[in-house]
Amino acid sequence: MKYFIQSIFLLSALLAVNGCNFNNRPYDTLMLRLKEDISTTDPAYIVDVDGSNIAAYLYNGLVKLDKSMQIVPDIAERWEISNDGLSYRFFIRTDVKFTTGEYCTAEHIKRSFMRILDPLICSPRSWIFEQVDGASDYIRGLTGEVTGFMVISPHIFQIQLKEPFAPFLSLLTMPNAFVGIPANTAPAYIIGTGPFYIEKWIRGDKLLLRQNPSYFEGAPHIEHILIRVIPEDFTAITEFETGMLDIMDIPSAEFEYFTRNTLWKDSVHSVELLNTYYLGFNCQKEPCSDVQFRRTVASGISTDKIIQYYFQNRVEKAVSPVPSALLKPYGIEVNNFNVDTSGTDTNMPPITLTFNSNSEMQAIAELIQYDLANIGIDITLEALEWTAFKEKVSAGNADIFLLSWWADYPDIENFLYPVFHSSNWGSAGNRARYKNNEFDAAVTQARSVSGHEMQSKLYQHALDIIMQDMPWRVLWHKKKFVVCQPWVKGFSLSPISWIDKGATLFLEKK
Amino acid sequence: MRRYLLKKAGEIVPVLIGVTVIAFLLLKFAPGDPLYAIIGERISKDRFEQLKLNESNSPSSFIKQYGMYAAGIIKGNFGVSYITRQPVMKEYVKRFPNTFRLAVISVAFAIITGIAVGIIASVAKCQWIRIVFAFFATAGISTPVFWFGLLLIFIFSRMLHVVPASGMGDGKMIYIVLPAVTLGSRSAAYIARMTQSCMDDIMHSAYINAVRARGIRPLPVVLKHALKNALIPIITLIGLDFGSYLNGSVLTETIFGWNGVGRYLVYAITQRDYPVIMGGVVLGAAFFIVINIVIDICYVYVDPRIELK
Repeated sequence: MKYFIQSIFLLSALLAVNGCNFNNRPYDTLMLRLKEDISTTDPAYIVDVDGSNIAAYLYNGLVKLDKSMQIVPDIAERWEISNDGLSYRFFIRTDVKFTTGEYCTAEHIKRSFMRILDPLICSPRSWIFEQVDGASDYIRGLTGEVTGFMVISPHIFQIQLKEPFAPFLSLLTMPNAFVGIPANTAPAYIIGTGPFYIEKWIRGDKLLLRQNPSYFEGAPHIEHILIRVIPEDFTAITEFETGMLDIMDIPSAEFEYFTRNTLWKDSVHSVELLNTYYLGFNCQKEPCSDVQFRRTVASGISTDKIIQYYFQNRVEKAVSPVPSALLKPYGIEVNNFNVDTSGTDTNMPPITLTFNSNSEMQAIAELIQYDLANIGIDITLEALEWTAFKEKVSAGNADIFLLSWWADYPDIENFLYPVFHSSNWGSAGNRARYKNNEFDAAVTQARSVSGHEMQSKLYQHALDIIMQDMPWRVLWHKKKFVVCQPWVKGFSLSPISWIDKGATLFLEKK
Repeated sequence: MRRYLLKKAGEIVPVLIGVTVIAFLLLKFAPGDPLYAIIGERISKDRFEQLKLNESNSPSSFIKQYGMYAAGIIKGNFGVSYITRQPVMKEYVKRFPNTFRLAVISVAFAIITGIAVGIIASVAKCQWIRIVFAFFATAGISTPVFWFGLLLIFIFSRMLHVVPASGMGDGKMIYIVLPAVTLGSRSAAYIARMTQSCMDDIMHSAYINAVRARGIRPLPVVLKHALKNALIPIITLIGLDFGSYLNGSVLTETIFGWNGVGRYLVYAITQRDYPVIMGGVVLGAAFFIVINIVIDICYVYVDPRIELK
């Protein structure tokens, strides 16, 4: 018994010595949370939002988005677009250095972009350069060069497109178009020019970024960014409340706590993200191929009630597939087309609503099932694991399905062409398998014309067709809610999260 | 002993082959293509087929695929994760020491508290002490791990600020306190129950009376003579729990952000990361087999009447 008591005391003393300073944190380090670790920081492979946000700290693109979603210079100090819309000439800043100290030149940019198209790299985002002259031959391994990437001089880089493509500059703001070169010693590690670089990455545990003192826009104010993997929401909240996290996405279950608590409610930031949640109809399958049926189903769903009672107004009601922030620059209005649906035959075999098996989608599916039962339409619910769900919907085997579309870049084209153009059926984006030749023609033309007025007219026409044909029953746009510690300064949210490069943030602990 | 070990080593091979075949078959017929988890959006049909060809990079026949995989295992190569593009073995080896540390400390906590509580509950003459200890043992068994973990975080991290809520703390001992107590609590409760019931039987047996009659003091009677005879079922229990903890404790690792193999495998399952799932299943099965052999050997030391054949 004596030894037992002694060992307990010894253990306690060890614990005290080992962990007495666990809650002393440095205030030159920004502490963030990830719910799950990111899979990669390589621009060629990034497809997720968290990965994109971290890539923004590490790399720069030729151009970037500012807080008002305008395209502004980044590595390129200016650019010129030829009158025919085929040539984009970028003038590279002379003071941009990689974190290894090497100056960034047009040759580096060419190498970086060619990596995305490299058949051996197999990037899932090679489509961002599919409009570049010679890209498709290079992807297929038919040539060893991309003729459309041209190094004019060490500081002039030119991209030649095979046909005019108006949103091309927007595509260059995507994380996959960030400039990065493989390290000589470890080719899997991609070196960037960003305000931070990776000091330590313990996969599944934490990612530590360190300030790049020679960042071309001036060294960031904070020394480190520590991103910890904390899967459990309650644990993350405890870490936040004990001051061990600086910025945290508010978990939906704790929304009311943070927005009502006097300590935190003034520190809550929110922004409407560029996304649309929708109920998709398989337009090639009976009975959803009938527009009248689609409109009947659409009219039976009470989005307002779901938003009010399920989401407690944490989402914004959608009125069109395109978020309103992307309609404004073109002056496009959403026109609703009221069609009499009283004659629709609802007496038909039950259809199946397929969705990804998580608790939120399950609840929404059940509410939709209830709404539709009230207008005499029976639906059965089918919850599938994510890959099985995507496979089924992409193959066109689902009747109706719950899904969302998130912006790759802030342009109306991103919410029309990939998701409704008939050339994109399935995994390319058009999972509703919608086809309308008039829409196809309008949106194809809008992508290639350069006049803003002409584009507006064409996009307005395209959107009107979608609002009439209703391949989607649009539901809502998700918002992001974030809570910040009072010592975090210079923080703001953007509809596209990888705009923030973390260079202007600082911590001021009084 | 040597013959026994050789025999057991021979048995490991067919068991592992069985495990790999079953896991391989299950994953083969599971719905959903793992490629959908990594490609994101806007992948045309042609590009999808091209990526699929590059990612799978394996023969079409199932037997050949299995043969390639088995050959890789023999060389210690479990393939490359679809999601992180890192070798499975490398990722597993990085996380396993964390799981091992958590398992060892949890089991140590469970053994110390479980046996102590079990003995006290058994030998206490006062009825209410027995009732209180029995209550805590039952409560320990009935309490869900995730709830207990969150309760500990709420009390000791959120309210009292005496221990960190999550993370690995670069190996600092204080970070393992809450995960180890959470994980070990249920084992401790089972061990306490088992110890109490075994001790109850043994303390009334003739040979304990004989020991007492020789004038030996009560504490050595309990610890040297009674407890040793009660250890066989307790060792079985500890061994099974330890084997299970070595395969990762998903709930505990998730709640406390502990970077162990359990969380790694569950994330792989949600992402359809087949090479990681297969690697985890094979290594997990191997650990269980080894632990069972160690338990068998422990029996011999505790009770010399047992022979290993």
